[in-house]
Amino acid sequence: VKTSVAIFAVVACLGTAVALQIARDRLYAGHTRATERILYVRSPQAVKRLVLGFDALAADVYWIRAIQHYGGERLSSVRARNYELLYPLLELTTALDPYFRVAYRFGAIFLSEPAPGGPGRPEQAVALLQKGIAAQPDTWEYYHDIAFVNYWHVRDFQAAAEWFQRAADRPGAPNWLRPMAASMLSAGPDRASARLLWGQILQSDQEWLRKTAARSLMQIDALDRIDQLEPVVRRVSPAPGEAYSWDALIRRRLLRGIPLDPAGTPFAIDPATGAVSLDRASPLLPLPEAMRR
Amino acid sequence: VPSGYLVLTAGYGLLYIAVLLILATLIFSRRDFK
Repeated sequence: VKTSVAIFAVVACLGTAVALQIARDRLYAGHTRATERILYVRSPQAVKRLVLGFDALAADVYWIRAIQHYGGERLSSVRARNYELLYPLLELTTALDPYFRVAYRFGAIFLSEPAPGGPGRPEQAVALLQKGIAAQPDTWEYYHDIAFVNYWHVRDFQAAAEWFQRAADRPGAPNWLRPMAASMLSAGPDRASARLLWGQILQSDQEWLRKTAARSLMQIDALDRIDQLEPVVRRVSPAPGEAYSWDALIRRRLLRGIPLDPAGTPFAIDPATGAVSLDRASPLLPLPEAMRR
Repeated sequence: VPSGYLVLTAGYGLLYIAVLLILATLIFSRRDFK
């Protein structure tokens, strides 16, 4: 009898609990989003004491929260995306586990990504990586990542060259870092160096990084194709009263078909000026402005 | 935070704790710890 009463009580309690949850979710639908934005403890020292020695475990939890925060904001339908918790979460993660390499490296990528895909805070990305350097001064990857942030997002080629040089000075650093530093200094934003860098990132063991690298390489290819197409388009001016168009160029046998960008979307042509650009539907937009000639 | 939200959340927590306590009582009442 005792057992059956207990089982009845358990079922009744669970049923009521679920009903309460459903009622709460219905009545306060917009509320969870606001509560998810709360970070109760921001001080790394306080968190270190609170987790009672389970530093690595807590670091993992904060890292998962950082990924969820970044991904949740990035995929949210709200236009004004707010990544305000990203840096504090990454700071806590790396304070709890100063040897958490992925948190520094991926965190820097998240932080430096421009809006709306990220907060667009390259200076925070650099600060995070410098924390990594303080913990592990011989890890060339952190120096390389700072150089990359300076190169791609800040466009400070002098600083990028210096950081590539420092990365090359670390023990066990790959030999392609020094030529990178040289090309930063001599040429600035050139496509060959960008290709080399993204080509290295393409060999990363992280799928997300490989995808970003493949997309960036396609963007550089698209810029090359635009540079090849524009002289062809301008070779013959359109007849009076006619606009620039792919059809007219195909009729004159200057092109075999409508040219496609590396992602497979047809290029767009400006009817008035003949300027070639990516179609609005192209997944490669926006193109990196610094790479244009 | 609205008070209704607090009441519903606290109620859920209490019921969940009650479930765990009942289950624990059931399990441990059959054990002889001597």
